[in-house]
Amino acid sequence: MSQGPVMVIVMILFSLLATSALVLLATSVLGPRINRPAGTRPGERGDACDDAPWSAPWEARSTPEGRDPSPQNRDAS
Amino acid sequence: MTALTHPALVLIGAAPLVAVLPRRIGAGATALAAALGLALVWRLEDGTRLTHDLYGLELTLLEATALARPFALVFATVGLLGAIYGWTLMNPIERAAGLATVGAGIGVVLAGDLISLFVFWEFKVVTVVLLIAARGRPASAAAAQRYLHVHLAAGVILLGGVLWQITTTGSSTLTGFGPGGSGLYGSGILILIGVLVGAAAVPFHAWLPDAYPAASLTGAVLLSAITTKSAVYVLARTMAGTEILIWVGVAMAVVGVTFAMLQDNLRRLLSYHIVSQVGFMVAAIGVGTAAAVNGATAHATAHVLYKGLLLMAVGALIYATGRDRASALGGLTRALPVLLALYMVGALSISGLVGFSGFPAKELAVTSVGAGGATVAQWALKFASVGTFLSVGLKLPALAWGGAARGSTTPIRSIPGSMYTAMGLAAVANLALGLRPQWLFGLLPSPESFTPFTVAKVAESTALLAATAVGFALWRYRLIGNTIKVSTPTTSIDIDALYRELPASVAARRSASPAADEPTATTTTGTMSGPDTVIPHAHPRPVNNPIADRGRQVIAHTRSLIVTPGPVGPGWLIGGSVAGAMVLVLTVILATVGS
Repeated sequence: MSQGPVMVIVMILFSLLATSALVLLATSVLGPRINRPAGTRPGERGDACDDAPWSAPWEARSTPEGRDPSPQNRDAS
Repeated sequence: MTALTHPALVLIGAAPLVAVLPRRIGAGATALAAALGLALVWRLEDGTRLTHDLYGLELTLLEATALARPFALVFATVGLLGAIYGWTLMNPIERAAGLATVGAGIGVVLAGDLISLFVFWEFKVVTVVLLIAARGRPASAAAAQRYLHVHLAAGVILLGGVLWQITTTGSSTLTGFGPGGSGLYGSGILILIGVLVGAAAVPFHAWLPDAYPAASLTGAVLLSAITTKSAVYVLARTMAGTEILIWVGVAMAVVGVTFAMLQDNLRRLLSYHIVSQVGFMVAAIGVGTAAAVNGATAHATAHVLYKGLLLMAVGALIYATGRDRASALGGLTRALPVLLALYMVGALSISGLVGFSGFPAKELAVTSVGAGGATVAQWALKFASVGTFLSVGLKLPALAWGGAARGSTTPIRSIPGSMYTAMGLAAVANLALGLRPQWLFGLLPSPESFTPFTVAKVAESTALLAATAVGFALWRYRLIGNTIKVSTPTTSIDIDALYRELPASVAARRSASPAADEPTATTTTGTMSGPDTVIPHAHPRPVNNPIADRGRQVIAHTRSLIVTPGPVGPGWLIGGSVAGAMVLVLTVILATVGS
């Protein structure tokens, strides 16, 4: 067998092993230890979730339907 | 060549102007200035110089070299793309800071001496702070402050190295500090540390995933292009062949990709991948051969284009849905198919699929690392490549677009045509460089004869990605299921815990256990969980004693200035860091003068 097909097989095995290693590392080893609820770190106070960027004042504008769908504007309406 | 045709000075000069213009005119002026900057960079010829005499010291404000040109060109390109992308998004401060950041980045790569480089470098820090803070949120302001403190400390170290070199040699020439360079060993170490912070090298990388997701949608695109890549340029210019960089790069590639696997926030995930991809460049610079520096340059050029596209696409997704967590999205394939297609162009480019810009660039960088004798590093970079495709090419789109809609449903906002235009142009650029790699190789500092389209290279690359896709399918439930199970936003503890959480936890512990004669708990200095958290009053405060109350308030306020775990951490930590760095610089200067 020439070197080319061997390298392809090596790459396939390497990728499968690397994928498994990364998934297990992320989900079983590191994730449970270093992930924590957002908003519990200095600097994240009061801004636990970055969702709804429409709240930025210069981004608040109407949609083509004529209504800003951002949550706070919905509340205001 | 005059200052009026220096691309960096033109962009920086235009910045205040666009800040005061009305919204629509300002957007047009920003795009016009960015286009002018690109045109000025395009017509630069190798060897062009602009010097200025400063009190007898000749500053080389511009020195067009074969290495600088591709960096300047791609910075100017992304500046124009950013101006188009943010046409309807950017506020005046953001427009000005964006232009100035692009100008400062171009100034760094075109600087011909250490002083000019340092001035543009530090100016970039200021403009980036504005760009992050311009989003106008508490989290953005906090991230901007942390960015400022980290980079000021790094800037002081960099300044120490620059001054050491200048005072010892009497020359501010931008010289090499790597093997064969004429730079001093000690000053080279200080400059290396200062620049590695800018490159987000492990363990100095935490500022990047902290700052980029906090920036505005357009700001993140510009930051991804300018900040780390200007540091990569300085490393390539001054530190090529410094062997430790190989392993710094490998650490960046692996740590970045591993932390990216943990992220749910779309832009934080991509931010960790910037750390990882810059690691490829740093490792190639560490090898230091002409082919390796070419590889680092090619990878940097392609990376600016595909990462810009990815951040633009994700920014458009956030704009349309109002959500920035992958687990809170889903079910968008039919609603946003064009956006998915544009995102996938960027994702397949960063993954190095044949036909996309990342393929020739990454192949050249990784192959040159192996050819330089660093076989282990080469395989570590391939390991990182697997993780890149796994999270950017598979996990993120599967979560964000695929499956059923998750979380509360909100209407999808129409994405402006300007955003699609910028993304379309970036996608075309990525495809063009992927299909015609000679266009990319023609920009490189040394003649490059690398041929990426060989059967072996195409087969290996395709096998790597195909097997990764199979691995993703096998582990899909574990990988995606875990993210979906997360019902609340999460964040990862990184090395920044050293300057964010450790002092804060100490301060919180001190606040939580006041001395018996110090009943000031109602004026708590706060805890890690925020200003709304009030520690229960263990000892009710005596009333009807206004003088004592006022005294307690003053004491509590004074304490809060010193130990409050606020957005930038306790003041004593920041002050101590900066003071320590200054002492270091003074020591260096005194030692140099004394000798």
